[in-house]
Amino acid sequence: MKQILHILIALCIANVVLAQQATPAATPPQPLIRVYESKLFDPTDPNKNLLGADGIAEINGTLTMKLDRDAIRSQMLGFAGVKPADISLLSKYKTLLLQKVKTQQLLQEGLESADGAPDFQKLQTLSILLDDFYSSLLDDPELKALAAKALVEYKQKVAAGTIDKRKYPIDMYFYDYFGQTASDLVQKLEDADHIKFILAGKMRNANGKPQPVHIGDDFDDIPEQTYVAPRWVFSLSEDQKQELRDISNISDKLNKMRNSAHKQSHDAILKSFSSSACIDDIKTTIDSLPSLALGFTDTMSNYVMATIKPIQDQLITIQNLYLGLPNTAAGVTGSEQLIGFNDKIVTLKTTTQAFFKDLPKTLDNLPNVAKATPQVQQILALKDSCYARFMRDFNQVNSIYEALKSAFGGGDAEARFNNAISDQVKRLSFNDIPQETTIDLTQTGNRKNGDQLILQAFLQMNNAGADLKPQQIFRQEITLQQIAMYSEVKVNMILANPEPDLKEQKHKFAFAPSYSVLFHWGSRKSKFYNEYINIGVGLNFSSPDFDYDGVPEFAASVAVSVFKDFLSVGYGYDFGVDSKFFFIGCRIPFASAALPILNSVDK
Amino acid sequence: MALENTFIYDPAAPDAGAQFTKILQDELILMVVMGKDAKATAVVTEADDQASLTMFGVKRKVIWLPDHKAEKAKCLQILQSLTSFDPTQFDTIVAFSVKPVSDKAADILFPDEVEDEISTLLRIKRAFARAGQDFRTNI
Repeated sequence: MKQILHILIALCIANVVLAQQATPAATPPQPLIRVYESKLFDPTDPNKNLLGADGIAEINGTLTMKLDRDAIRSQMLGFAGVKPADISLLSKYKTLLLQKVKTQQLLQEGLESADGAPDFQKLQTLSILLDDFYSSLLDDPELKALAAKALVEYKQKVAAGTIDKRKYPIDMYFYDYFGQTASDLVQKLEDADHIKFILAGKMRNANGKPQPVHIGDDFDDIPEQTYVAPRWVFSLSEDQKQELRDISNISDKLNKMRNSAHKQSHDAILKSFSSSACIDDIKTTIDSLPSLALGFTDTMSNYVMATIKPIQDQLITIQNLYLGLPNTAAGVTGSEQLIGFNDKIVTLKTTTQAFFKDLPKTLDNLPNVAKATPQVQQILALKDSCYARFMRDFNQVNSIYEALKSAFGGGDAEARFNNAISDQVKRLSFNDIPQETTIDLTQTGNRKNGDQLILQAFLQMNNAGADLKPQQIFRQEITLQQIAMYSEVKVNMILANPEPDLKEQKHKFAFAPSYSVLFHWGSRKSKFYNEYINIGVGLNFSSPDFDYDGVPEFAASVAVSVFKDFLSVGYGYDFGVDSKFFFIGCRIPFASAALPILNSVDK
Repeated sequence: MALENTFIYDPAAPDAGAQFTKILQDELILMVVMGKDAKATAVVTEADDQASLTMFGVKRKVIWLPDHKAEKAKCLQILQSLTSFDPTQFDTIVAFSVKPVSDKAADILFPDEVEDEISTLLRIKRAFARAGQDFRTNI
């Protein structure tokens, strides 16, 4: 009897709570969380300006999230194994169990009066209770279906001999069956109280692993990271200055190499970037060491060559691995190739680390005469910075791998959950879930145009021993973009063609480093435009060397760029040689992976 | 099928009417089943099974009239005690329960109420329960 009363009390509470929370959804399913840009939210029309699956939001804006608590509660109940139909049965169970309580009370009191005669009033009351009970089952299709299941069970048990129908009539079996069903439901509802709601935010950029970001005090303790993406940029950042210097070197090399035509420009570009360039320098210097030994005895010369042979071989391996990476990365279209790509970058890292570790020992084994040469000293001076540059490149390439790994998904739900949720993200009980919250995007750390804010909601059973895996119930990706007009500074290499041709001119086009101040217009509607078209108009400043005197001139042009500034054209004036010219310019795709050539906002 | 708690009315038997009347007069909770189609057969089988147990110490009995015409006058007399009864529906009735003291009809079962096993079982139980409500007021 106590157990039944416990169930009844729980059912009463559940009835009240669910009556308040579980409103039947007559309208089409709505997202659990509706996300808007706060300044565009229209309280009179919740569907207006709702950010959808491909939503674009102002990079420095504020997002408003409307949480559908009823729907979340339904999800929580479902996670605990409570079906919507079960919820509708709650009040009916309560009625049935109340009838059972009254019936049992009457039976326990006895159906006879004090003189031993039948107490007809009690008999009538019992009959009325039974009438009500059977009417409840007959009149309600859900209860009737349950009764049918109970009957099947009952008959099986009778046939199996586990139930004696004279001692345990079907009436009592029905009562017990519904009592047990109600008890199970109450247990599930109690379990539902242990389910926690988690809302987490991550920021994903083009190259890196998604990083957790603060999306509000209600949901996490992740520290705020204040960053306002600049709308107007007219000067070069330190990275861009370095990039400009790199491109200047490349332009110089390309101009020279084109004359010598030793290598194709593509290879030259790749090799000229970052650590591959310094590794080339080290190899060139090491390769020159045997010539130093020409003045030595044959024995010493052979000794020098034998000593440096292993590191020469290592360098050849490193160069091959390094140069093969872009093509390998481009060929990654699935997880199988991804494994190969990962193997290559790990091999590159271990081989290069071994090389830099072995290099000082190898050089130390050289004869003192050789060690004292400027070449060996140059290698020793170069190795540390070169290793640092290599590690920077490796980290960049590794981040490509991580991005690809993320793009290809994989892993089970648990792994994805752990990947998505840090301990700093709060586990909320239902009552702690707010109906509305805002995300100040300026507190979500460094962001660039095209970065994506990933919002994920999970349910997790917080009950010790519970064997329920976390379940994702909501996910939305919002692309961040500077909306309307904004400016950027972009560094690129141009191919400039003076007109008319200059007398000193050896080639139609000359490579030149340049940077542009470009005005763009960010769209809130078209991700395609933002990602691929992204027309820019502005000024280009370059330093071509049209007269080939080794001293770059200063030139200024009007420029138009498309395809996120990967392609630009312009028309300008070289103030050094007093010549007009037009140019086409490009950003080098591989550079975007290997060098920090991007400005602080755009990719 | 052994119907141990059922009186099967045989019109050829000379004392059939007398037995029918006697059973009505006994203080039993009664279920009268009429017809011989599948539904009637299912009802009489289930009612007989339920009647194997007393209802709070009161015995139950089933009378099976395979022919609706048998004892029609008495049946109509009992059924008309139910204000909701429509005599034109008499031939469609599958069964009705009878109160033990007043001999008034307590509940009527129609074919569409005994379409499946669970409905049949619950419907018969409710009919018996309604007959049991006669105890106090009519003693």
